Order: sequence, then structure tokens, then C-alpha cells
Amino acid sequence: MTFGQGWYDADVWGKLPRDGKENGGTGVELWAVIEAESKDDAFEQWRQLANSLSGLFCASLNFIDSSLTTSPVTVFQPKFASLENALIKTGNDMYLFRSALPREPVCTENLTPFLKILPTKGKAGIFSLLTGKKMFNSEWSSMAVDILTVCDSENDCHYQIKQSIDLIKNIPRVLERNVMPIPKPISGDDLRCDLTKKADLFHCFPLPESNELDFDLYDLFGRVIHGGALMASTQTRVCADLDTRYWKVLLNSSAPAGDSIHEDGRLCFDLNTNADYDLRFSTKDSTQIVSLDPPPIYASRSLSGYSQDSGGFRIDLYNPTDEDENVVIFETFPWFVRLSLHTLTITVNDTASHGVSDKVINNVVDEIIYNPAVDRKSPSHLELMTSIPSKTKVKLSLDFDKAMLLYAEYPPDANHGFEIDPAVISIIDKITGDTMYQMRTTTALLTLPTPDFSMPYNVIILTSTVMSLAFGSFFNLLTKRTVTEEEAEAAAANSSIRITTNRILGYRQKLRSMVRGN
Amino acid sequence: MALLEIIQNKITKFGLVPRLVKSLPKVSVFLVLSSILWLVTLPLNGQFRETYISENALMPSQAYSFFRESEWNYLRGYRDEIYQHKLDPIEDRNDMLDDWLKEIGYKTARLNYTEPQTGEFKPTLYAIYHAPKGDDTEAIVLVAPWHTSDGIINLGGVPLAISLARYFHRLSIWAKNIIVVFPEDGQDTLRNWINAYHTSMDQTGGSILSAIVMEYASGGDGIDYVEVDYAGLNGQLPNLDLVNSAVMISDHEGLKVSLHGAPRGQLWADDFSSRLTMILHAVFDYALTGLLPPAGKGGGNGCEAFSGWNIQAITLRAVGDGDHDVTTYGRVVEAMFRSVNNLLEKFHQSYFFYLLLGPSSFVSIATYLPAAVLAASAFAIASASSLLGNHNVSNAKFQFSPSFVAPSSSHSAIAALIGFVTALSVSVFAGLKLQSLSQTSPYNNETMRLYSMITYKVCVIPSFIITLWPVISSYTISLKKSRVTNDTVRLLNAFSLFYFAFTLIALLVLHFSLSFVISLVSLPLVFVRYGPNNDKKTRWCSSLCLLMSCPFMWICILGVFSKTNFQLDRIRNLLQYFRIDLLRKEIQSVIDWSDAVDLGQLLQGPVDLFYGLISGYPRFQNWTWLFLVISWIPAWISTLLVSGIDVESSDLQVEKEKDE
Repeated sequence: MTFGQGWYDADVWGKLPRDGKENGGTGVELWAVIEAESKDDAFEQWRQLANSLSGLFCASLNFIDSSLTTSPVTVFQPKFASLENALIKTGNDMYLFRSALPREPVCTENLTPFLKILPTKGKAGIFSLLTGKKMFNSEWSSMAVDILTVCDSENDCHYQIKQSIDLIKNIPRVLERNVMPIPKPISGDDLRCDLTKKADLFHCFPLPESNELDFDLYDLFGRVIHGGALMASTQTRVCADLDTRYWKVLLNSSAPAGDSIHEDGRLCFDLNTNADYDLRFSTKDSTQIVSLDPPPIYASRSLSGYSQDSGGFRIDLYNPTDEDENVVIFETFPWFVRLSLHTLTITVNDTASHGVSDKVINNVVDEIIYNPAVDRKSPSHLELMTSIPSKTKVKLSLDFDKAMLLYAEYPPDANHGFEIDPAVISIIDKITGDTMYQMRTTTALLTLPTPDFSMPYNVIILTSTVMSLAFGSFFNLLTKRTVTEEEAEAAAANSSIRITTNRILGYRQKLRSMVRGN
Repeated sequence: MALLEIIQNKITKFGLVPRLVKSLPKVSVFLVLSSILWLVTLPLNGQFRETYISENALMPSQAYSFFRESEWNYLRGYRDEIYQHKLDPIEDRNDMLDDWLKEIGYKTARLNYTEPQTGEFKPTLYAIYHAPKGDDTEAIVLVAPWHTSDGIINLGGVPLAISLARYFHRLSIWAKNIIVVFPEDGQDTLRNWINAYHTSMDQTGGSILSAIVMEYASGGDGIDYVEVDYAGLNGQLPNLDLVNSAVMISDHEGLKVSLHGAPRGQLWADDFSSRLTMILHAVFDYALTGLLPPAGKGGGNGCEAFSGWNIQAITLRAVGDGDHDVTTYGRVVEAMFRSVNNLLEKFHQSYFFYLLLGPSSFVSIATYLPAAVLAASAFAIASASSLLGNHNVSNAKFQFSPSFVAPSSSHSAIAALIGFVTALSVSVFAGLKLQSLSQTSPYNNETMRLYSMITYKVCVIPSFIITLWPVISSYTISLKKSRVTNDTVRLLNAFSLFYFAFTLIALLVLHFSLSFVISLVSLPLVFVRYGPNNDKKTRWCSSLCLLMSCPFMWICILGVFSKTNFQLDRIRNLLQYFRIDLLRKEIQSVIDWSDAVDLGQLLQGPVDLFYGLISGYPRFQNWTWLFLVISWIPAWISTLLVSGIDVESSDLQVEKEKDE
């Protein structure tokens, strides 16, 4: 299960940590392999799993149902090594399910249960740094929980849990905000102006930010490390991965600090007491850092079109490496996005584009796995196995139609549209088929034709009026007889009302003549 | 029902129906008059409403803005650099900005574009700030074109956009991405960028929710007031909440807002005449938006480039050299960004259709729509009137009888239909041909002669000559009396007017202003009548009416007007504060102007407008020309055909003849 927030800037931050295998896209993502007798049975267990995790992690995972769940074919495959010794009951099979909730805002309420799972409950060790306020105030953050079943022998299985948190912080910005939460104007003396350009009392061409940095963990997290996790079988070791020629790291502690240890080019400290520890980092040139691994692939996804009834997706892939890569693009779309696979076009290096019927497309797309959506039942699931030549840009575009929703299916409260899961881009090892690197694009925001919800009342009023008019006319036609005007007048003369009125008139006449007569 | 029966009986007894039929032309005129009256009464107190923010989430001007003091120094620093390099080629200027924006922390990219009209290379620089912690699905766009709509370098706007970009990057409030765009101009280049954003661009920042175009041509440090442009193409307007926010925020910062180019003196006025001037401006500006002058010549308000992509866009143009420092203008933009950023959902559903009578008063569609409905229904009544024989002058002497309404044979109906369809197809074919011509021949100095020739020698002058057709034909073509001729002419006239009314009514809700303006200027079509050859008076009247309702004549008039620097506000001033010496002064200024005017320049106006019309769809998806081609022009041609046919006798006479 992964929780993700923010946009990952691969240009600046390089490769995702641990090849992106433990990072999710925006929102919550959950996948699991379930052993069951049948797929229905497995799905029932999957639902139960999602519901219990929902309660445990305060996330909306209980909304996971068949319309959000897919069974990936080439990616998200579990590492079966740990299950090698496991005994699968005869007749049982393994089923893989995967689901994502891109709408889910990741928040403190997800972090607290995450920390609670730890043996130290987040009270000691590096996790004691984490508070919701500071942690989610990062440029990008990702939390992951990975539970593995490890079987040493057929009857001796246990669970192994791996929890990880990755954060990216803009340190100069954090420091600036610690001093000044709102970017207020600074006084004229503090302005850093480029003196090679016009600079006087009025003009100031801003210089880039200073490269001198001096900060400690307290500045970043508002807390210090509350001692090592002494209950662990190994010592807590905190490592800083930086270029020690330019950076100074100092361990501040109330307890006598141990010496720093160099390990794989990193600077590490053992925290072997329960005293508070803080690390201080300082440098004269913050641009000098351990070189980042460039990402093996760049990918972005955009929405095309704007109309109420149709649209399209474009996925731009760029392979910056010197080797050809096998890339799997995994996407799921909700059922109301009706993909037209025949509109798949591929543009290589912004030159010619090729449609799906074009033979050239086979050079890029090796295989397409596609499960079309069933309305309100299951999402469409697309896996494109592509091979991207080295130093090549490939653009895939795909059109879709938007379906109409029933009025109750629109989200009830404030919404800006419908979020579409991030696409999962994986580089697959050509021989073993294992995922070597995995990244996700951002979510896409889709607007569907939204009715004016007050309209039904107008319609009801209008139709009622028409109905009553029609009824009146028909009723008249059925109950009245058509006659000529003369007949009508004659009939009117003989009508009871006319006779009565005539009689009254006659009485009046009589009365009048009587009065006059007298 | 009995009551209705009695009324019906009385009607038949007194012969009201024939009388009513005879008075239908008067009903038409009455409808048009009441339509104008309707529009004129809108600015009366009680007829309009004060604007308000209907979407509470916007919360304009709720936060104190710190874009001031030291930010002003940065702004000046950037401005000085831009001033030094303002004559550099576009690529160099973009390189410079590119470096600055990268330094600030934006992701920059270029969109290459070669303008088809001029062949100039105009790459657009844009920079995206992916909001930290954001979900990267929505964006707000800030556009600072290198050249303003007047074609002057945007010396205030571009550095302001850069320093705002720098300032935005330091704020931690953003829930939506910020995209800063620097197109060479706010017309075709910007439009191309927006089209590419939604079709082919790789670097995008999610769906664009809203866009603000900044223009401030001066390098001064103080501004006077802000002009807000908001009219989009094809009658599309941004959500009223966005305009209201702009007005409210400017007001909060102490800046006055001018809409539709209202002059400085009118910014404080809120009386009937100022509102009436504003509403007339609004109607004309909405109707004419997108009829842009040729590419590279400036023009356009910038925000219309966003039309059609479901983006709420406005242009904020700082004007003058006043007491408010230029960061005030920046603060207005900042507060707008904050407001849009506050939006949790989309803009509120209501009020995409409105007419503004001033910065803080408006009328909504239900209130103003009847004006156009009345004007368009005048054509429907005229069509009925024609069907009932009122347009045949010979019928005037006879009383109406329903017996001739149905045609004697299907031949005349078919002939009328063929006549109309021919007119329609000729018009559509020629219109599309002209439109494709505007794509193949760019508008530059070489092809200027071609376009002048098309405008004058192919369209305007021939259409003026052809309006004399009713007179000419009366000397040349005479026809025998026959019921088929009578029916054909009557049906053709009725059908073409009906079709015109139908298209105008269909256009009403989509583009009120265009429908209303066309209904008014083409009204004389209703008075075109036909009759025998020897009735020269009718023929001359028809000719005059046809001339007055000729689309090309109006293109000509509008085009010339666009070059005359005509100001409605001066007429308002004259009428509102009428004094003899004021009139004398105005007359004098007209005389002065006519002495100094360059006739060639004036005659260039219609050519520019005509090019704007025919190139509107390929350049901006503006379908004004297509509408003219399928509605006004065929109706006009059909009426022209009708008025030139020799109809010797009244419908009753021919009917009797046939019976005998």
C-alpha cells in the first residue's frame, strides 16, 4: 500500500528512491496477491482486506469495489521468491488485485496509524522526527507499507513488514519560512542584487539564492531524534548521504556522541542511547552534492481536447539512456471513460505519427493487453508493452468518449472533476521480466458533462403543463359534439340555463309591469 | 372554453382577421421598436442588478498582499534588463527570460510557431511552477505578451509577470500549478499556444482553470486605472464571478476599473447615460470580438484567445501614468490568482451570460434576451405577413382571404425551394472559398491588393450595383400573369424570411449580441415588396431597402468606422450636457478630422474587417462569417430575387382567373 502526494521533478531530483518500487502516485494505491479457490472468492477477500485497511489507515479504501479494481498482467507481480516454500492448497490459485484512489488526500490521519505500526510507535529512532505538519509540508512525499509472507518451510510462514517514507524538502524555502512564514518584503539593506546590472536605491536585479546553508534536523522537522530504538536487535544508525568534502555534519546530543562511521560513502552515526540527537549540516556551497542518478525514463501524461463528450490522453516518454528499454505502460480508466483503442497513434521524435493499423507501430508497441470496461462494473485496463529506443522520444495518444452518468453518480459535494489514476510506467528486464524501475505520472482531471441539477424541476413543470393541456383538449374532443354556429345558438336558446334566465327575466318583467301598473 | 368561443365568434363577425393580417408589417416594426426600447430601458434603475460574488470560495481580497516595497526594486531591476534588450530578436529575449525563470525554479519550455500569415518565427516561452504538495491536475495561467494589443512592447507587463512569478514561487499557498506564458503577441501566437496545449504539447500542467493576460505598455512607475477586457469569441464570456473578482480586487486596491474602453472621466459615473453607453458598447464588443485585424498588426483583447477551451480568461490592462504604483497592478493579479486558487470546485454554474452596465452592475440573460427575441421575431412575423400576401403590392387593394394561402400546385413550392437552396448553396460555396483563400494567401503587402480587390470589386461594389436589380429588371424582364409565379414569389419570400428568423432565433442564446445586431441592421429586408413592372415606386423602395440591409454595406460601414476613432462616449457627453458651444466644438472636431483624414487609410478599414471575417474560423474558430454565409447572405439574395420578379396581379385576381 502506498500513499503519495505532490509532483516528482525527475529533472532535478533524479531517479526515484529505490527505483520507485516503493512509491505510489498521488493518493492511495493498494495491491495484493490473494490465495483463494476462485476469483470470486479472492475478490471477496480483497474487499475485506480493503475494508479493514480502510479502518486501520483512516483512508477511503472502503470505496474499492469491482469498478476500481484491476488484475495487472505484467506489472505489480509479487516476488515469488519469498513464497517459494509456501504451500498452496491444492485447487487454490493466486490472484493479483490492484486499485488506486487518486482523489484521496494524504494527511496526518494516515501518518499516525502508519507510525503506530512501528514497534517504537514512532517515539524513538528516526521516525520520532515525523509530525504531520512538517512531513506533509514537503515538496513531495511518499509512504509505503509492504507486507510479505515469508515461508521458511511449508508450515512455517510469517509476515514481514517493510515501511518506508520518502520526503523531498526544499531546504532554503523551509529555512526561509521558519524565519518568515509569509514572504514579506525585506528591508533594502538585505536585498541581494546583481551588481553587474543596474542596482541602486530603486533597481535591484535579484541574485540567485545564497549557496551557504547551515541547518539542523530541528529546523526541518521541528523535532529532534528521541534516541535510538533500543528495543531493536540492531543499533539505530542514521546516515547522511552527502559530499563530505563540502559538507560538515555534526551530531548534537545530550549523551556522549559516538564517532561518525563512513559506510558506502555515507556518513553515519549510531544512536545507542535514549538521549536526544540532532544533526547539524553546514556548507559553503550547497550545489556540491553527491551526484544524482538520472532517471532511466521520463514520462508525462496530458489530457487532450476540451469538449463535453470526448477527449484524449497523450503520454510522452523519453528514454535518455544509451540502451533500448522495454517499457510497460499500465493504465486503468474508470468505466465512464470509453477508450477507442483504434485511435492509438504513436509519434516518434515529434516527426511522423502512425496509427494503430500502421505496421510501423509494431516497432514500438510489442503487445497490447486490454480489458474493456463494463459500465458500472469494472474499469478498463490497458497495458501497453513498448520498446523505446535509446535517446528517443515517443508520444502515444489515445482518444476516448465520455459517458453520461446517472444523476446520483455525480459526487455530491464540491468537486472539480473526476480524477483519473496516474499511469504506471515500468521498465521491464528483457530476460527475467522483473520490474527494474517504476514511476507514475500525475493524475488527470476529467470534466464530464454535468447537468444543471435544478433542471429536473423545470422539466417536471413543463411536462406537467403539456400533459394537462393535452388531457384537456382530448377530454373536450371526447365529450363535446361539434355543431354549426346556428345549431349552437339554437341549442343555447333551449338550454336550461337560458330557459331559467328567460324565466327570471320574465318574472322581472312581470314585477316591473306590476309596480308600474300600481 | 366558452369564453374563447365567444371571442372567436366576435372576431369572425367583425372581420378582425383580415385587418390583423393587413397590419402585420406594422406589428413587425412595432416589435423592433419595442426591442430597442427594451434594451434602452435596461439601464434604468430597478431593471439591472448589482454584481456580487456568487461563489463563496473565491474570497477576493481577503488576504493582505505583500507584493510591495522590496518587490518593487526587483520589478525595476527586471524591467531595466528588459528595457536594455527590448529590440533583441525574440529568441534572445526568450533565452534571457528562460534563464531567469529557471533560476527562480520554474520548468521552462518553448513552443515553436511560424506564423502562417507573415512567415515570421515566433516561438513562445512558457514556464510551469508545479505547486508543491499539489496534485498537478489544474493550472492558472498568467500571460504577458511581448507586444500589447496596440503592437507596442509590453514594457510594464513582462517584467511584472516575471517578478510576480518570482513572488509566487516563494508563497506556499498554491493548490494549482502556475503557468507563465510569454507569447510574442496576444493574438495568433497565443491562440496557437493554447491550441497546442490542448492537443500536442509535452510539458503541461493540467487543465487550465483560468487565465489572466497582463498588458502595460509603459515603463512608468505609476498607473492610473485598469481596463478589464473579458469578451470572448462567439459570444462566450468568462464567468461573471471572475470579472466581479477583478473589479472588487481593483476597487480594494484603490484602482478604478474601465470596461469596454470607458474613458477616465466616466469611471466615477453611474447614471443612466453612462450605463446606456456601456450596454451599447458591450453589445457591439461582444458581437465584434474575434474579427481581428490581420496577424501581427495588434488588435484583439488577448483573452479571446482562450475562448472555446473552457477557460475563464480576462485581460487586465494598466492605463496611464497615475498615483498608484505599479505593484498595485501586480497585487491585483496576485489577488486574482489567490481567488482562483481558493476554488475547490469549478466556477459556479450561473452567469456565463450577462451584459455589464458598469463595473458593478449587470443584467442577466433572462432580462436582456427579450430584446433580441423581439427583434428576431419581427422577421418571423414578416415571414407570416409575406405568406399571407402582404408583400405583394397588388394585394393592398383587396381584402385578405385565406383561400390563396395554400399554393395551387406543388410546382411553385418546389420552385421556391429550389430558388432558396440555390441562393444558400451559392452563398455557402463562395463563403467557404473565401475562407480557404484566407488560409492559402497570407495577408501581407503583396496580397493586400488581392484582398482590396476582393473586398471592393468582388463584394462591395457588385452588391451595391445588384441592389438596383429590382429597378433594372422592371425595364427588362416581364412575365405573364400566372398563379404559379405569384405563389412561387410569395413562398420564396416567406420561406427566406422564415429561415432567417429561424437562424437568428437559434443564435439568440449562443450569441445574443450578434443576433441582435444582425436583426437590427438587416431589418429593412422586412420592407422589401414586389409588384408589377410598372410600379416603379415599389421597385425603388425595394432597392433602397436591399441596399440598407446589404451585409457588405454594413461591413463597409463598420470597417470605415473602425478607422475613424469614433467615440460613443462623446456623443453621450454631447447629449447629456447639451449646450450649443459643445455641439459647435464637436462639429469643429469632426471637420478637423475630415480635413486631416487619409482616405486610403479609411478604405483600408473594410478590407481589414473583411479579412478578419473570412479568416476568423481558421485562425480562431470564430464562426461569425459562417453564420453570415448561412443566414444573412442567402436571405438577402433570396429577397433580391423576389423583388426583381414581375408579379403583375394580386393573388386574389390570379386565383379568380384560375377558377374561371
